Amino acid sequence: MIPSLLLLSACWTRAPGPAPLALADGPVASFEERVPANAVDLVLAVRAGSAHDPVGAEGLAWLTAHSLVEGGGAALQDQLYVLGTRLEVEVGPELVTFHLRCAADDAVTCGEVLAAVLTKPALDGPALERAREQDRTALLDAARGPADRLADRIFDHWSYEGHPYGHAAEGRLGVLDTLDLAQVRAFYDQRYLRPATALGLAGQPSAEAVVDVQAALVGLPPRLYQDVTPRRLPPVQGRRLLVVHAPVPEARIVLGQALDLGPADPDRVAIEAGLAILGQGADSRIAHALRVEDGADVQVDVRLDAPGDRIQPALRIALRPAEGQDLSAAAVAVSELQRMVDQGPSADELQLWQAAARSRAQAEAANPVARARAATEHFLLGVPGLDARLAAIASLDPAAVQAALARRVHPVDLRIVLVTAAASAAGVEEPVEEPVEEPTASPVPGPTSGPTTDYGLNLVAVTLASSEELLR
Amino acid sequence: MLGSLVSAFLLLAAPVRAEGCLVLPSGQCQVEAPRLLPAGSIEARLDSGARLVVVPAPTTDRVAIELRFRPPQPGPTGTSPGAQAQADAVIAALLGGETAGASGPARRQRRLLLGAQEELLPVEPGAALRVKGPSDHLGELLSLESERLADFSPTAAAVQAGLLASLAARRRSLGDPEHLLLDLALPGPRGGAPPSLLGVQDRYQSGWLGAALTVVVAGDVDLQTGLDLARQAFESLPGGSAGADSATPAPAATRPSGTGLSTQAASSAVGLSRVAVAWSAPPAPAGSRRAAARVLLTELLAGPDAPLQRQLVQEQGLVRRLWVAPRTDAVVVLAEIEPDAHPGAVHAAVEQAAQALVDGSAAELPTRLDAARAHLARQSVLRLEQPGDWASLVAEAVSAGAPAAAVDRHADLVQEIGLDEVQALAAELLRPEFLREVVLTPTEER
Repeated sequence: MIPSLLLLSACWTRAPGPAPLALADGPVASFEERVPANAVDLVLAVRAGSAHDPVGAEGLAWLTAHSLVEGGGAALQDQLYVLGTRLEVEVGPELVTFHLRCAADDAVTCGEVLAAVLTKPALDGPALERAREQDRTALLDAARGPADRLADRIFDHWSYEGHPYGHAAEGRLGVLDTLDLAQVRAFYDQRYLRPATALGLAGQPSAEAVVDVQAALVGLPPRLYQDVTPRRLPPVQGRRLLVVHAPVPEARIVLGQALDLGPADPDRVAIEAGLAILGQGADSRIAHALRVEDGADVQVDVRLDAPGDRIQPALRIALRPAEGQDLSAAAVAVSELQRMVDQGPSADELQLWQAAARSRAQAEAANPVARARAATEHFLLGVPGLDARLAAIASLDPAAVQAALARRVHPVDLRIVLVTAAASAAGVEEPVEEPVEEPTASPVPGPTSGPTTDYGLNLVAVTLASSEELLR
Repeated sequence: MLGSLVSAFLLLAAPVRAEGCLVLPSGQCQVEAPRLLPAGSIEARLDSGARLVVVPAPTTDRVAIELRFRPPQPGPTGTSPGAQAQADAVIAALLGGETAGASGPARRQRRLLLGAQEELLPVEPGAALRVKGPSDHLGELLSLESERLADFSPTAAAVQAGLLASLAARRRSLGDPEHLLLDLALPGPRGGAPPSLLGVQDRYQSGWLGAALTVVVAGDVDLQTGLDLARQAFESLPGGSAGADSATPAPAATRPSGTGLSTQAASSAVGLSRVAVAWSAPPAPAGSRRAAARVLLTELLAGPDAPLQRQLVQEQGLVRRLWVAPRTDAVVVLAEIEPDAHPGAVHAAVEQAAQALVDGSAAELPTRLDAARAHLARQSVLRLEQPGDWASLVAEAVSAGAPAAAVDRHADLVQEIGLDEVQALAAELLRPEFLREVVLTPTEER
């Protein structure tokens, strides 16, 4: 029994994510992009992003990553100052990425600094408190800032309900003060693991610098990584509308759906192409249709989450409607999405997208730091490399794009978030007058049936005294 | 502690430092600034008056072209500065958006098919357009850019669209709290009626000329080929008088004189209140000793290593974050303050730090100057990553009237300038009559 289980685990090809047993005890995977340069970039990615937050401890990944940096205190800051650099930390749903850029002559010192932050952390009370205050500022900025970020976050909460992506990386205001040092230390112990870490180096680091940093990273524990994604996505049936009345300066709409597409799924690039043609830039279909329909320039952005960001991406159409347009703009966008799914792009549209996408991918391939980062994402998440992406872009034709869209995108099942300060949004009947109750585990109401709108959408309405309430 | 860290750092890197050691009169060894501009860069002045620089920067098969326009500022009898600034903003929006001529969309398609990307950079005064693409299409890309300039003939409707686009861009920029603070602290020329079609055409024909243009080609480029192709593309531009000279003082309106402290309050969608403490100053010519001394002054006043940081952020807990804005027309300290802190306390601490710098009363100043030099020397290297970074750095210096070599000259000067020179400049600039303070509070609190 046991040998057969061992055999089974050895044959099990996990994708995405680093987990083969042999890797756990080996050195941290490292990828070098050697080019002549005066600077050296060290990119250290750890699969310890916000999707790994335990339920009820949202924001723990963010706090842990920032506490690691804050743990260095004034000594680390002085060291970085003399090196002319700063340590950047980015916490996404999947990955935490530390990036340090140094003069080539300082590569050894920089490697030591970066490795020490991760392998000899000073996770203490003052560091945690500094990180907590940064987190609070980030959350408040998101709540009080433009409606864009608020609408995006509400859309994420709703579209990924019950899924590890269902909260912002910074967590929730209501939870922030409950997180303590013991939880941060436990998260570090459980998630900052050798097989879940990858190092990218770009520039011309000396052999000594490379060897030193690799040796220091062996200090990370060699335990196996346990994944939290991919997970089953919440089902959507029909078009559902959430109207949020909040004190925002201008209305914002985000509509779309979460898609079960792996990072290397062959449909991914095709869907990306169809969506870009649908809504990126002034010449896109939605922008054009809105100009014809209303004579107004409505800002529109359509995108699929990058595979390095979310391995189960969301398709999102973001609109900043002109005054009074609100849901009529969303209706135009949905109708254009349906048309794109039914008919696909024209050959000319696709050719232009391919040229632009090829140019962006080539620019990325010419950037050694982007290549190093891509290599870490390939190792940790199974994201295809830049060469594979270029090949996928070149191989597309209109029929393939249409077929992929028809297989994966369902315009009849959408979640639509409208954040507006208007008392009653255009096209929406009188909203349900019920103030938000004390926050529960999920800050966004569940998909209960409500009244319908002029557009036949199921409506859930929420009235907020302050935008911060939604982030609690 | 920092002193020992600096010493340790210099010791660690001893072999390299030994080669690049500058021996000062005091016998002290200073780090020599690394060369920023790649060897073999070429500079030329075209018959049209346009300045052209070709920079062979390390890259793989990519090239960046930056066009930077710096139209002349109004003379004493010219159009009002506000109206002219509005016309310039409309021209920049139209050139960037390419809505001006009927061939704009066609050119955009050709550029896409060549595999190029473009962006309009926020540069004042004027505009900067950057195009990046494969180096084997350099000639076609340059020719597309020169067509864009030659075809500029907007209709009244296009001017209207350009005006809306420029207003939207301004609104977006003011949505960023830092931009809003700086805009309030150091207001540019404003006012005047919206520009007419005739006004825009006149301004383009009289100001956006060869003499106001800098073209930089950086990346995977053969020097002679780059020079020939750029010359061919931009030689036939109309000429004209030179753009604003870098030494021209800022318009008087931006520099209060003898009026004492000016304070403004505003509200915006920010999480924490923010404060800007700004001393307006005449622009220092690029590559000059004053420009380098001003960078050191700002660093010593409120850089990441300044005592002001420790005092306000760690010891008194009044400020969440303190930083400086890189401006050529002012010394600006920005702070994000804690909810229970009073902006006046931050302002007082910044003024006190300025006084300490002028008086030289801080004993650790020489050590901090060494640390600041090491920091700035490395920082200038680290800013350069892609051909676009090279193009932007060189274009900034050259469009301000300096030679491309000013980029390296600046780095050298930062290492050369002594504390006495920094303090003399501080005494000249950090005076109460040039001071403005702006406080930005969260919308809900007002």
